[in-house]
Amino acid sequence: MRCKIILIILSLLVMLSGFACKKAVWVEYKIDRNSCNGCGECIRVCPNDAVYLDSDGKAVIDQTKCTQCAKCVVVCPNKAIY
Amino acid sequence: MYSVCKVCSGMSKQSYLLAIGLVLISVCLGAEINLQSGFYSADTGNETTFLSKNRLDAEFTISPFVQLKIGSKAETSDFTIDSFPQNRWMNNYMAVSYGGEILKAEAGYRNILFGASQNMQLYPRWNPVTDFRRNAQHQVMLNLDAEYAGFVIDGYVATKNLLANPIEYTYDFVTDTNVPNMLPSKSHDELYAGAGIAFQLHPSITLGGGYGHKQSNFTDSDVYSSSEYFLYSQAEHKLSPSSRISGSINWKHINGEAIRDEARNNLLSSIRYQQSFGFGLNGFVSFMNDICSDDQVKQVWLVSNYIRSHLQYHFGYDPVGASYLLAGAVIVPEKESETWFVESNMHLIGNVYGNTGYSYRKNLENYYQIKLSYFFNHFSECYLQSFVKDLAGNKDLQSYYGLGVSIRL
Repeated sequence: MRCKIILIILSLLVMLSGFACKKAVWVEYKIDRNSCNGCGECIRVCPNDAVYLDSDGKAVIDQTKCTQCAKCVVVCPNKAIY
Repeated sequence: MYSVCKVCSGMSKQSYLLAIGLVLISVCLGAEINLQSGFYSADTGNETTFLSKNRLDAEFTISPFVQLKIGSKAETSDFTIDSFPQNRWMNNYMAVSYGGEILKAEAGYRNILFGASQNMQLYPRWNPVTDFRRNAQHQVMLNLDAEYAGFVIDGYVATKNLLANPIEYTYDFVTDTNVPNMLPSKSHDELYAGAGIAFQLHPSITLGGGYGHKQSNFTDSDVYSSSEYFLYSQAEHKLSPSSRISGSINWKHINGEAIRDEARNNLLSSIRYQQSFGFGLNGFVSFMNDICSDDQVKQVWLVSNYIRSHLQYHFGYDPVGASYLLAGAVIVPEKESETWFVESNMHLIGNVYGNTGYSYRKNLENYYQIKLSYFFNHFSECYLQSFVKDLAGNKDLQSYYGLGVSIRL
C-alpha cells in the first residue's frame, strides 16, 4: 500500500514537472537504458568520441564532449536516444 | 564472390586473427556460442556496394561462481554507407565475472577498431585548427558490488584510451588554403571512477547515492574532466497479477568546465506501466522527464519528455510462441521527434517464419523490412532479408538485399 501511494505521488510529480517547466534553450541528448541494446552504432558515428559503452554494455553519452550534432539519434536502431 | 574477397581483403590481418582467436577460445572452452553472419548488397542510389555484418557472442561457465563472456562484431563494406564515417569497424569484448553471495565482481576489456580512420574534432570550440583521425579505442573496466544487511555497495574503475593521428592545419597566405600537417600519433586517455551505496527500504523500494569522477587528458587540459554526485530512488509495485508499475527519480549534480551552468543539477524521473490484457496481448507505456537547473536554482529548465509505448499480440497458433504483431511509438515533443513502428513475425509453414516491419521517423526516414527465415532448431536460422530506407530531404532510396545465418552452438 505504501509503495502504491509513493508511486502515485511520483507519477503526479513527474507529470507536473514534465509540463510545468520552461523549455531549455539548448539541446541535450540522453539514452534510454531500457531500450539500448549496446550495438555501438552511436559510437561509430559520433564525431567527438562522446559515446562509450559501460560495463553493462549500454551506451553512455559523455555530456562534456557531446556537441549535440544528433548523428547518434539518427542511427540508433532502437530509437533509444532522446 | 569477387565482392566478398574484395571486402575481406580490406580488413586488417590483426582483426581476422582476433576474430579467429575469439572463436577458437570459445570452442576450446566449450562455451555457449552464438554466431551471426549476414551478407548484403547495398544500393545507395548512386553506387552499389557489398556489406558484410558478422557477430560472435559466447558465454562460458567456468565454475558456479565464475563466468567468461566474449563478444565480437565486425562490419565491412566497399565504401561508407548511410551516415557512418567509416566503411570498416570492429568491436571486441571480453569479461570475467564472479558472482558470490556477498561479493560480485567483473573485469572486462573492450576495443573498437575503426578500420578506416576518420576525422573527428576533439577541440570543437577551443582549437578549430586541429583535427584528429581516430584509429582505435581501448577500454578496461573493473566493477565490484558487495551486498550486506540490506545495503549494496558498488565501485567501478574504467579507463578509456583513444589512439588518434592529429592533423594540424596552417594557413598558407600564398595559396590561400589550409595546409594539413600530419603529427605523431597521440593517445587520449580518460579515467572513470566512482562508488555508490544503495539501501532497500522495502522489498520494492530502493534508495541510493554515490559519487563519480572523470579525469581526461584531451586537449591537454581539464576541459573534459568532470565530477558528479547523485541520489536516486526506485520503486516497483505489482498492482494486480497482470499489471505492474515502476518508477524512479535520479538527481545528479555535475561539475566540469564543459558543463553549462544551467545543467549542473539534473533531475531525471521515470514511470513505467506494464499491462497484460490476456489472450496474448501485452503492452507498456513509459514516460521519462528530464529537467535541470543551475546551482542557485534560479530557473528550472525542461530538457525533454520522452514517451514510449509498445503493444504486442502473440498469436496462439504458433506452438513456439514466436509469432507476434508489435506496434509502438516513441515521442519526444521537445525535440520534435516522433517514431511510429509496426512489426510482425509469423509462422508460415514448417520451420519457415516471415518477418515484416515498417517504421516512420518524422523528418528522418521511412523504413521497410521483410525477412524470410528457416529455423534448423529453436535458435538457429538461415534467412533472406531486404530492407529499404526512404530518407527525408529528397535523398535517394537505400536498398539492401542479403542473406545470412544465425547459429547457436
